[in-house]
Amino acid sequence: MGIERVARAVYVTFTNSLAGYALALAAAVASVAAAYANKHVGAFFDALNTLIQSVSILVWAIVFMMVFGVTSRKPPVLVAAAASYPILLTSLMGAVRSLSWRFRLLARILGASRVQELVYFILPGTLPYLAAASRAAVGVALRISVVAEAFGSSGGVGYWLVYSYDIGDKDGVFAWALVLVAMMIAVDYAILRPVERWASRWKL
Amino acid sequence: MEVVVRVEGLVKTYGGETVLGGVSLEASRGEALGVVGPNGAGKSTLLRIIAGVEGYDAGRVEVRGRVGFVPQETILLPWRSLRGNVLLAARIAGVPRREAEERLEDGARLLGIEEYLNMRPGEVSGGTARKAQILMALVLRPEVLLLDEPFTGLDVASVASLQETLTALRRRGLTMIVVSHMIGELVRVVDRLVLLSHKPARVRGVYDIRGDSSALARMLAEELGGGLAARGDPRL
Repeated sequence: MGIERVARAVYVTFTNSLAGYALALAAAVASVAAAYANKHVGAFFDALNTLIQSVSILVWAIVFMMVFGVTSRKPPVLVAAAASYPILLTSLMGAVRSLSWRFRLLARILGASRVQELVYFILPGTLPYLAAASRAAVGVALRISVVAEAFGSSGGVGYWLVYSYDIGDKDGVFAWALVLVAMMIAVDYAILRPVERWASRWKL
Repeated sequence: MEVVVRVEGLVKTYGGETVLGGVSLEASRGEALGVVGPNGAGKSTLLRIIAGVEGYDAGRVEVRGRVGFVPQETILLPWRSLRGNVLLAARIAGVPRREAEERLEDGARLLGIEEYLNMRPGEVSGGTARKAQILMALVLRPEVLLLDEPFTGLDVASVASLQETLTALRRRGLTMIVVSHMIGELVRVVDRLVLLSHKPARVRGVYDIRGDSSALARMLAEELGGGLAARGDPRL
């Protein structure tokens, strides 16, 4: 377990999780924008959210592995996205609902179009809620992408953890588990908490 | 005098309950009209309808010129400075940036909030935030300014300062309709008072408080009498 291997594994897991989170974030923002424009679309995304949450992460991991292959880095990314999307969507939808009457009134007073209303009033208003949800979403993405990595051979922390187990290397299992914990704590303190603090200034 | 706001037989219902039961009023150019009445009489609803942000069920609303509306609750975007909030209002209205800046400076001077423009709403007092909300309306150069409970929640100094500002705006020829339950504060800035009855709201009387010094006393007597009568007070 050389330092080079650890660094590489951390890099792979970190980028997998981050890519999954970014994908989920883009999808959640697009879903909220579409739901804001049309309430029927909103009902669709509500149902989709329930569906995604009702499917086990294990099922997602196996399905993506079958579709993209065990050597692909796509399954961990997509599984991380599938796990963090419901968290972000639920939080954003709730924020839009709780904020909108005030900001919608202001937008109407100023004669803003529907697009201006969303861009200038609603989406920026959701930022503090999004930052708080992101802490949970990134944490989930990190933990879940490791599960998907365990099934494949992408070389992330999850892969090496299971590899150590397979060859009966108990020290290796604990060492990789510690790497994962350290990684999550570092991400939380170095990135997520400062972002949440910054965004909370925008709160009403 | 040219009539710039005309409301005729306005009816508004919420879930089967009639809030406005045929309200009619007029405001002439450069006039400051106060609307008073008991809590829940529909004063704010009336103002939102005139502002065009709420629909109505029957009647007619005619407004000549651009309307600036200051809602009852101060709503500023907390992530923008006061300047950013005001300039956003101008941008949405299609006011060119340079002109918007000029209007902003002019309005801020009038309202006395120049030094706070770069602060965020959370960093200034309620009175300053209220004035920034008024500035958001003024930057659109409205012909008619609608103010919903502008004095509520302000300290004595802020109320006096806001009264001065509204008086200055009236002198500039702006037509204003001000809704308030604080009659004592309102009479200092308006020319006429419209008294609304409780649900469904109808106009109980219009009092020219500038031209007739006894009008306010008559209005208060009527308001008091109406209130006691509504409660079935045996002294009447």
